[in-house]
Amino acid sequence: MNKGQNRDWVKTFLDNFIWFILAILFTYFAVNIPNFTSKTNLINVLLHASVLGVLTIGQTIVLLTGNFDLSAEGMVSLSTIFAMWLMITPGTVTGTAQGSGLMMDPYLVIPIILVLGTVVGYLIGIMITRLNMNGFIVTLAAQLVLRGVAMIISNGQIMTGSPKAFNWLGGAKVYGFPVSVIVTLLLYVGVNYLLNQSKFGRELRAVGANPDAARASGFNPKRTITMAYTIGGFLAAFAGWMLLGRLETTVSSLGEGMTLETVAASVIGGVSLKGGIGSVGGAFAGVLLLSMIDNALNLMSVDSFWVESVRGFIILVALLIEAQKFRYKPKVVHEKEPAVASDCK
Amino acid sequence: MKKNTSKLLDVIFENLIWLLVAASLIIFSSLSSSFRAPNNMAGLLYRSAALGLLVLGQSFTMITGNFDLSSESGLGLTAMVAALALASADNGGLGWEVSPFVAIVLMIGVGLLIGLINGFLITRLKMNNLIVTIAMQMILRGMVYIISPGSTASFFPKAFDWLGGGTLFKIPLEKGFFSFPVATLFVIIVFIIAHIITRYTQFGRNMYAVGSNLTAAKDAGIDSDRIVRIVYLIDGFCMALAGWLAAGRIDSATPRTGAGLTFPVQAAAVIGGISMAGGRGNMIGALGGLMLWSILDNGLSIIRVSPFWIETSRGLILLFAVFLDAVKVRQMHQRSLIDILMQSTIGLKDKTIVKK
Repeated sequence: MNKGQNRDWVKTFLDNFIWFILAILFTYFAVNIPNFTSKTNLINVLLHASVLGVLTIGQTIVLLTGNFDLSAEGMVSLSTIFAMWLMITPGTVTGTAQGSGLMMDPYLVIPIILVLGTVVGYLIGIMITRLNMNGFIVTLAAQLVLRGVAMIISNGQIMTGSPKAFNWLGGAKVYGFPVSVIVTLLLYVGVNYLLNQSKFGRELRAVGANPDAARASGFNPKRTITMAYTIGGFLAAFAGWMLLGRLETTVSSLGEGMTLETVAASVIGGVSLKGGIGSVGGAFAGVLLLSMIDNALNLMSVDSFWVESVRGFIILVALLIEAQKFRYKPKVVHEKEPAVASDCK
Repeated sequence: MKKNTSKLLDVIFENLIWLLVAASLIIFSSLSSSFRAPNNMAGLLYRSAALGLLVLGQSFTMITGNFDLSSESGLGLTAMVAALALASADNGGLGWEVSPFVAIVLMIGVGLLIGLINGFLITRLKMNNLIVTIAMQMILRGMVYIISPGSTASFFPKAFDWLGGGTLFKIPLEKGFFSFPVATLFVIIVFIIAHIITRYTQFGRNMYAVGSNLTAAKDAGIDSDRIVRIVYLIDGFCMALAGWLAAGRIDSATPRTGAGLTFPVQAAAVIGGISMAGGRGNMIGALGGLMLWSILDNGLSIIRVSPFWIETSRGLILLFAVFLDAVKVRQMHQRSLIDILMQSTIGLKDKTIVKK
């Protein structure tokens, strides 16, 4: 009995491991780096976490079904470029990027790019589920195609000067607090609630944990996976809107390398790559951890050559923990089995 | 009768890559005279020799159902290690100026070490191969920057450059020479050796067994972890050879050597028919994939297609390749299901039931 309680405690600890690491690192940084806890810096951390965070929600949802989405960063690039192309004036100086001359109203452009993201996500989902194409390579190729189209539209140039109404989400502040951070937090709360309480959330986990069993119990895995990619596409376009609002400038290489960060953040936050295990809340802790470390490395003015190696090591350590947890989990289940059997008597 | 047509289809499907290679060769040759120049033709594999070795290593890992995304940085690191040991202090090296053979042994050692670490993390610690190798890619690339403080090391001894940049023979033409690069021959030979290993040795058969059905392979007594470890060692060895070729060809190594190759490596292997699911594909097909990739690369830039379009078309080609792979899998699945039902005691002769 005592041992069982002990196991439960270990399990809770392992499940919330990431928050402990986060707290310890935060204290460490706060003590050792002078400006780390200043208000501007903390807001900076959260700002970086917001765009990454929105992308990570999409990635987590797809990971829960046991798939990968490497196309999101391509969608970020395309949605920003496309939005700019619709909004800005045709360039007069040679060498600058050309707008379409449509000069669309921002309130029209926002729905357009969100729909674009949704449709692209849906198409990717269809390719993977209906045409049985390998998800990893499909999304990798999609990333390339999306970025390629962004390059063609922008002619490889920087596009700048998005209208104020468009920038509201990414750039505005409410009572000194960035809108993007508030929106991201709300999104996390909402999606976390949705995944834990709704039928769709249970479907996602069931499909990820065991597609055959999910099919046998009446779920439609193909539909669920398509849905997950569709949501991923929508959120990628949303993140694009947010990022463009903050930077007011875009270029086709925008968001390069973000895919890796989203996967890393999810995995660090306890989302299993095998599907079915993990939560959006944990992933958010992963996002905060990565943003915090990035920020701290910056403040400590660590040699930029080291930054990439350090990041790689962090991902490795997270993976190591994840792999050990996966080994440990079955033992817990096994331990409990006799108890269930005795209950039945 | 029907069986014959499906067999013919099989043969076409298996060799589709060579049809595509031939078609693209003919198209680009007719479009551009500089493409069909003998020097350009012989140089196709010479320019993508380093890529070819990475494709080879990737094919090994993919046949066992694993990935290696770290190879581009492995190439960079091995090339940089050799470059630092070889080049004089004036040219960005450490000033050791070791003999080329020591440098080659050194870089192969580094490559094997990378393979060993990858294999250890994946089989012993049960970490996800995809993310492990992505993390390794970042770590190794960081290490390249750390050991070479962001600078280029160049001018190596001739013996070192021979493999990557040397010429095997020259034939005088009306204008200049037709020179046949060593690297072209080397890549072809290495692919043939790999083909023999995978096709005709017990180890090769075990590789396919592990890749196509891990549980069945384990039940049959194959030590799958050992196979995967060896495969990653081979992969590390290939990285070192690729580093040697890359450094030798341009006679220098920069911190960015090999960066961005992961995607072409994956693409060439998949286009060449190596299945992402593991257990299918052969090395000769992978060579075809490599050739198709370098022909398109070379051909499209010779006929002056905008680089933005080249990037997009690459993605589309890859999508097409994955689509073909999926079709192939579905067909095989259906056929094996039919075969099983035909042989079963129920004596199901009606094939229409199976085809949903």
